[in-house]
Amino acid sequence: MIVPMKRLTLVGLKADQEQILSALQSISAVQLISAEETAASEGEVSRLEARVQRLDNAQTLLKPYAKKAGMLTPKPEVEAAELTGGIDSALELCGKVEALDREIAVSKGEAEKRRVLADSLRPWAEMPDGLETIRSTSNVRITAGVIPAEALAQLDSIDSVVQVYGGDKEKALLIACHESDWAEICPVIRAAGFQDVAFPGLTGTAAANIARLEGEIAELEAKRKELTEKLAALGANRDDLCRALDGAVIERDREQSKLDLGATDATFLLSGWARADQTEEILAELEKITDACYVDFTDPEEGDQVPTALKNSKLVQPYEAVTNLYSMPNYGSVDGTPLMAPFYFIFFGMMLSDSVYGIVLALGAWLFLKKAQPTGMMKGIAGVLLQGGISTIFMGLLFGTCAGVAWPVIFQGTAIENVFPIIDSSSEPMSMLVLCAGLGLVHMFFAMFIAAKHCIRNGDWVGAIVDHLSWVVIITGVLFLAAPMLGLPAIFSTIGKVMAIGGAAVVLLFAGRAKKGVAGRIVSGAGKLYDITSWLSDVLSYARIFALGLSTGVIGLVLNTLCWDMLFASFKGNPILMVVGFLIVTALSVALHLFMMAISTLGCFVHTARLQYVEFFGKFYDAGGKAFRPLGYKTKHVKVK
Amino acid sequence: MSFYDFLSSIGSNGQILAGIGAVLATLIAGIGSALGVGRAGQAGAAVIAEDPDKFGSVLVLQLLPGTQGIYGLLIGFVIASKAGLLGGGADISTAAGLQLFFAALPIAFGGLLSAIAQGKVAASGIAMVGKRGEESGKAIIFAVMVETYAVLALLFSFLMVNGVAV
Repeated sequence: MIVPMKRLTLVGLKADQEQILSALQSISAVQLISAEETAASEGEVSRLEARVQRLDNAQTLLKPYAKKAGMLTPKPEVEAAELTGGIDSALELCGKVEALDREIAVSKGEAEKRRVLADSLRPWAEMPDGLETIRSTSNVRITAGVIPAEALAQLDSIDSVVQVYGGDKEKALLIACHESDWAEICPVIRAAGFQDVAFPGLTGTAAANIARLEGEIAELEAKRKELTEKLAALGANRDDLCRALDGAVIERDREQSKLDLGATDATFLLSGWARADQTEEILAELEKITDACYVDFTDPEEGDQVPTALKNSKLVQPYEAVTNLYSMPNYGSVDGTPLMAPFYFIFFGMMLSDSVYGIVLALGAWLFLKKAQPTGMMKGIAGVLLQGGISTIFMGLLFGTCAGVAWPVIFQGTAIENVFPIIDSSSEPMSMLVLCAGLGLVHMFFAMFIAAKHCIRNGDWVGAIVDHLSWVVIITGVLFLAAPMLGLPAIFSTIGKVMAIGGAAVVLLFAGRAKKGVAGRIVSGAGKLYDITSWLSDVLSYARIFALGLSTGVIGLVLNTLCWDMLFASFKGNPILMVVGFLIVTALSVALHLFMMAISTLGCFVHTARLQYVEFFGKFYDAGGKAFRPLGYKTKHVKVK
Repeated sequence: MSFYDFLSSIGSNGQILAGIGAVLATLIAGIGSALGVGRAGQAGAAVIAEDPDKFGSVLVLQLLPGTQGIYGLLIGFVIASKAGLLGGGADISTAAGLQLFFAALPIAFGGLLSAIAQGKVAASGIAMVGKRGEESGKAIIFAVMVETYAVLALLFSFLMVNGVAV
């Protein structure tokens, strides 16, 4: 359900402001509304934001060197004061990390610069003279440069002395010519791809220079390695940085919230949203600090943008994650979570439909919840998978398989050999399809009833009947029309005819009631009647339950056939090979089944969600609500006690 | 000589036709998935380069176009086992073989094109996750919308294979 909200107005003394905000943050109960005139402290916020950035960068830098937390390790629980208290020392550490990182970057850049220079000198390595000797005189022009090796032949025609050095791809050239010939030579060598090279500031032979540069590069690399080791040594302290980061985030958020406060010289005004069931807690918390403040809770007014908070029983709560993946409901509308949860449970089980997968999934999710103690979205999804796994165990028995093995094979020779599965989707596909369509109709009729109830609650009886209930009558009527095919008395089909035509008439005549004039009304009603096609496609959409269930079962069968009937069977006859083969094939089939289970689980999760979002929510759900985000501790690395 | 007569004239060939169908289902749907997953993977690498923490939601999106290949394998396997290609079953009639061949086409081509389209949607979704990580659920739903048609193709291929009398 959607929790009722209250608007909180609080006027307090400025002296108490920090303490009051701290207290509200610690109980995470109020979402602030921006005041029109604020006591600006932007500068302070950006200082605190910069601190968050620095700590975040530093902890990211140390990430590769820190000990990795296991998947199943819960976040440590820490007092808020402990987090903020460590910020100063963490900033010192942060400075060290930043300095090391800078030095590493510098040495990397220097080494790179030398590497490029050494590469450019390499074609000249054979030149016996020092680089500083390449110099034109007043009459003779000496030009140094490089040219692609294959273009060398094009220079045969020029009237000058050419000295060639260098490698296979690139040749180094020294061209000596009279100053007056240059104008003639220049276009020829340019056309051949000649590029000038200069060696400013270099003395000695190219070979000597390369050797010197390589020595320097090695030195720089060694220095960088040393610095990286120093950085790695700091990796052990990354936890401190992470905690300080969380602390810095808390302080920044509080400072940020001050931007939303109205203020006079001596007092401040805070207005915000609070859950109606938390007002007592807020009052108690404020009382601890001061009695010199004015607090008032009022109901939201028409036109207010009220945030939405959901509250559900423990069993349904995980499904809030599924609802949140779609969108929060608008405040004042219906929370779809408890309504769709039972359907989600059933559909998920029918799609995965393998009892062994169900057991593994439920155990895995339970272990994850128990050990890692996730929060938020992860907690919700793990909870949904836990319940989905339990559902899968039963649905697997009713409609599916057991790790790809058919139930009759497992129960062979027992009294219940032919009982399970109730419907075998591979031999009775039509029965399974009809079952899925039937469940789909129940699902969608339920959505129609919810929508009708919502209309009635708002006093719109006509809307409830015309827009929602009439469709239930039409579709039921159409189903009754088919009664003779199932051997039921013909009277059903007559009733069905009456229902379908009656329902259709209601839609035709009244669905366009907002339109003026008889013609406009009928045309609009006929348009609405066309929705019958979307009902058809919606019902067919539930065939995915069958298809995904089938796919899990058949893929399991494929894996078993590959592993046991083909691979293991090939070892038959040789006892040693059979023992070894048994172990290998067992490991292989477990790994393959786990992999397929993971993929199927993903598919079932999203396809079940789709049935809720499109076919179910599409009929009644009022999406677009904003989630209630109270000022609180948004820590990433630890849990605040 | 009609095409059907021609096929009959090759001799015992129900299995050949069914075999071609099984191969097409696995091969063509598999190509689609490979392209789709590949495209999504490229987009994923770009996002992970910026923000390695998003690996989880990006991986989920990348995996989505992979199912068509699995569906293709599934139909290929069902056809092969029905035609007695796995472990020396009896030969089937040419008519049954031709029926199994056509039964493979929905998932072969439905799988191919839906996987490619889904790969594009997944790649865009991954780019979206790069900008707004909290909205990954919606990106997944967009990709699942495309998958519907692969599921329908799978379903129909299966119903057809199931309906063939051998």
